[in-house]
Amino acid sequence: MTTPARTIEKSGAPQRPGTSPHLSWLHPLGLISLSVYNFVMRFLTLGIHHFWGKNEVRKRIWSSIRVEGEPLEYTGTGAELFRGFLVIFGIVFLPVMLATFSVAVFFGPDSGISKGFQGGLYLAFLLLTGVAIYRAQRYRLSRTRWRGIRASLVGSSLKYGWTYFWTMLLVPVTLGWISPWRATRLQRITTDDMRFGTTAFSFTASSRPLYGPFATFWLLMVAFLAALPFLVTAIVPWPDMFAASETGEFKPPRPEDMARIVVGVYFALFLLGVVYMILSAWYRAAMIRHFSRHTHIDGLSFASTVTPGGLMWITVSNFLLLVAGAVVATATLAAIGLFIWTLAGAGLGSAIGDSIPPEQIGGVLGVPMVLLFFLAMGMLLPVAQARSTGYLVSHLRLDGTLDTAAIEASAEQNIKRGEGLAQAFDIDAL
Amino acid sequence: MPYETDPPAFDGRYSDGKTAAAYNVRVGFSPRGLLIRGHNAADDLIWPYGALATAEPISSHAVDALVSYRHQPGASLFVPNGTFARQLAEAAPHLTTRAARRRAATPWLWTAAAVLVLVAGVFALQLSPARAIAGLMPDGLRNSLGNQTLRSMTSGKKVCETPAGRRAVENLAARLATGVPGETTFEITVVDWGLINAFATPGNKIVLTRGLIEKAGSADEIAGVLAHEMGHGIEMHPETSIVRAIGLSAAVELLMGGGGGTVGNIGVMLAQLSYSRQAEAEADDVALKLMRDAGIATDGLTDFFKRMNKLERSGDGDSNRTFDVLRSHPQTADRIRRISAQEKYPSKPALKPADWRALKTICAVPD
Ligand SMILES: [Zn+2]
Repeated sequence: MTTPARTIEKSGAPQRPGTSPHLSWLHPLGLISLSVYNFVMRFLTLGIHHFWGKNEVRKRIWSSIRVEGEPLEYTGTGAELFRGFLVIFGIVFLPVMLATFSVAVFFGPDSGISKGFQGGLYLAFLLLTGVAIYRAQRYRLSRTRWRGIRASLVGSSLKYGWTYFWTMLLVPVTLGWISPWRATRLQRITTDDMRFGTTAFSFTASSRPLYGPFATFWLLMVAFLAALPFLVTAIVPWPDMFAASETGEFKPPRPEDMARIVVGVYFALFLLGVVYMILSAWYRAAMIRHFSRHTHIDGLSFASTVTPGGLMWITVSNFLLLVAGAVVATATLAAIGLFIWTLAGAGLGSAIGDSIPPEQIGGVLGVPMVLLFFLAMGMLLPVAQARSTGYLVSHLRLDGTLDTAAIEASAEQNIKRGEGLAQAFDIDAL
Repeated sequence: MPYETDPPAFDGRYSDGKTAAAYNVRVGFSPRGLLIRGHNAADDLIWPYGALATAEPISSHAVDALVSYRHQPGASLFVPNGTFARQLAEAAPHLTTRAARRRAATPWLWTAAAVLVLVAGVFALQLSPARAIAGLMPDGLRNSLGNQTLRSMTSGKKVCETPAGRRAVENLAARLATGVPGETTFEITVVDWGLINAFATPGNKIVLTRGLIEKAGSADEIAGVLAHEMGHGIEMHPETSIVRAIGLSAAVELLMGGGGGTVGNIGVMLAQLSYSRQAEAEADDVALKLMRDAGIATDGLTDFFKRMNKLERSGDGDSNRTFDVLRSHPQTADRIRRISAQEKYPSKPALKPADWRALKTICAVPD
């Protein structure tokens, strides 16, 4: 066909070349109903709809990010996400599961070969984590457009994966002190590889300014970890189970002690999570602001005004939101179940009553209810994601100018993608 | 809908997809498609409705629309106007949320329905795919599985094997084996373990505990328990539950979109916790047949059930023990009734008194 676009280009004057673009967040409406719809559909389609639901959520969140009032466009599809999952499931999870199983069966779960195999797997997964992170980012960027111009990530996922891997090994060795340097290094690889059309992003941050906030965080965290055992035992009385070990025979903990141990461990983990979230907020805020300030494209740089309090509030309120959503969903489903039970009446009741004595019905139904509750925790995840993204975007400013007319689409932009082995692994399975 | 061509009613911004520049345009609905006009009406673009796409499905909340056109890849048109979005949804109904969702959901709803019908069919016909797969396992695999299970369940515990006690076990197994079909042989291990327990592992291996033997009132009771575990083995219940656990965890992983890790594992653990009531009944049936063929009375087994049941209910003894024979104890009364309803047949004690004494002390340290 002819290109009438050409004529429009000639006839209409470009909109303010070299503008100072305005970044804004237009909070998406109808996300709660979308969340509930996705949750219900996930059950009705035995889980498969998840990928399509996730994709629609992304479309809505991307659309809420506005540059010059014009939305980002997400062009990925649910089918792509599903295919990515099948690839990972088929070529990684299933073979690994079978191999682990076979090794354990033929050499014994505690044999040297089995342990070596497990260790090797763990290292391989650690190595692949970085590759997967990079490829997922590449996938998402390649499906992101603004004014029809696609973003991309042009580097090598192996390079990123390797850096991710060896610096990860150094985290325990350095007692965590490599973390700011590591985060900066990984962010530099990603940002320097990022393109909008043919225009490159650049990253100029050094890790030095992050060490002040990190040191504060590290010292407070160590102090807390030292106090944690005392805190936990003070609040959840620890059973006196080690007294028996003096006889030389290991005595399995009694069930009532077991419950206490489980509660204690979960309480400790919860406490750890909350305190980590609080203490790390200053460091995280400092990092976001530092990285933003040193990210550039064309004549633009970014400026973030996120605050520790803001990050904390988003995390806490999102958590409460997810719990509230799970409570409502579980209660609703329980009520529906009870209603059906009552309607079905004596027939169903006696059929089940034969096999389950009345005093056990609570126990039998309790486990599915707990499972359901944990599943339902994910129901309002789209709302939480939108709130987090909204917080970051509405506290991000673009400084300087962008010559939009000079930003060109990259050559391969409109080539049909998704073919060939390399693309087959640009998947977003995380 | 009211098509108006002149002048196009809405303000929009057009990008050609070659650079990130945008141009102010006017946009309207023409009978042939979306009309996009720059400076000159002569250069109008027409985008037929059927070939349009929007950045997100048009919902009732839409305040704007970002439109693209299949035959002009890269080009995009942004119209920041809710009325435009609603009119566009009318002109191109495939762009609505409802249409997009129907397209995405319909095939999977049918798939899910088909899967459910299949599963219902498997249940209705009482097929057990896990059992069928278990039947295909080579003996080497079953043996390896059994050895690993045995090792992990008895680790750190002494194996009881006074020569006289071993002989008693062999004699008992041999007597029961007369009714075992085919070439199946059982490998029986007694472990020095206070819990009252007995279990079968893959590869026809059976474990009896010291606690079980000490608490038994007669050799007939042990014979009954052993026959029950042989029943599990003959029916391949241990193999089946392993196949089922692996299948379940794979299915859950698939259904949860990979995020099912923990949830899946909890489910798998629950599935492994016990054999189904049906499996227990099958094992009982086989046990009854084995005992009849061996000429061993079933009264010992019912006595044992009654005694264990009382112990369990009174909460006496170790409260955290798991005892396979009693796992589905709500039905214990039923099972006792079924066993007692058996026709009586001529029987002899399961073991000679000397053998029974030897079995009782199989865990004793040989002098
Ligand atoms: Zn059993």
